[in-house]
Amino acid sequence: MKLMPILFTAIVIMIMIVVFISWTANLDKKETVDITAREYILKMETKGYLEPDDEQSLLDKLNHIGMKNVSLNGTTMMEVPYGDTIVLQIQGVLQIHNYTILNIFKVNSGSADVPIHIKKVSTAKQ
Amino acid sequence: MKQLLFQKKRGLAEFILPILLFTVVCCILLLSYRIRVTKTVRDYVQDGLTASNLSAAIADLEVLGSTNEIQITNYHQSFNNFKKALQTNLNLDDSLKPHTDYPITSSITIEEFYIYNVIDNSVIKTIVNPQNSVVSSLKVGEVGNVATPDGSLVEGATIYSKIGFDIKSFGAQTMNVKMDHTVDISAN
Repeated sequence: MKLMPILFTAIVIMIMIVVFISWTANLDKKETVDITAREYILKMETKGYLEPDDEQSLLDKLNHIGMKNVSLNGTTMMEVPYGDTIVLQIQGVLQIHNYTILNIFKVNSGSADVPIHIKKVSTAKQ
Repeated sequence: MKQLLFQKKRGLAEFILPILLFTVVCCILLLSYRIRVTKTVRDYVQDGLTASNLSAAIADLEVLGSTNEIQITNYHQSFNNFKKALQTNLNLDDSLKPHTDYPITSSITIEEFYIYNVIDNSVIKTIVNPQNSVVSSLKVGEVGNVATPDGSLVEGATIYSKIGFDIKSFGAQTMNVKMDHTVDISAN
């Protein structure tokens, strides 16, 4: 009985830590998508457009990160002259872990879809 | 009497210890959260700024063809490319204000935009005024002894930009942040 406050606090702290770690992991996922987009806009700069091979490897990478229904509509797919604007546009949903606190002793864990829209612009340097 | 006091102290400790532990963990998590958010914002803005500088770095192909030197001569086009890319890469509206007010709470201001060209071993610095796009150029030294404000040595056509914005700090407080970046297109 005397240990009740300590036990109660330990449970609350554990829940807080799990939720924090999960939030950090989700943020990491979103950052990985951003880093991937940056990597491919740099590739596009040197080629003047998104090459079909690069398009496929970009889609593979995004799927691997956990993105679904990925669309690259609006991306520069045809080669443009030196100095012209190039665009990389990624749309889709990212699957993340989601925790719902029902009460102090019950936390529901599941997954949720977060819409992602990334648009990067640069100029062709090929 | 002594025993009663001792029991009271033990009872108090049973509550004080968990509260203390809870407070310490809360502080650690809050601090970790702030550090993580700050790092995310810094990386996001730095990425956007780098990509925008690269977007502005357009060499004059005529000069390149005739003299084999990489120079940026269309200053207005460079600045406009920079502004447009910054707007898209950081998801800003026409007044350079973010579409969401978290974590950047203010419009982004372009504070400095310099273009450095190297002509016959001399470094020419062109300042584009971000407010009215007025351009002024001057010779600032020889190759090897001129650096951009962030300390990068100018060895070829280079673009330097600096932006400022407010981010949310603890509570309702905001903090003004400056970020700058240099891109040397002769090295790219």
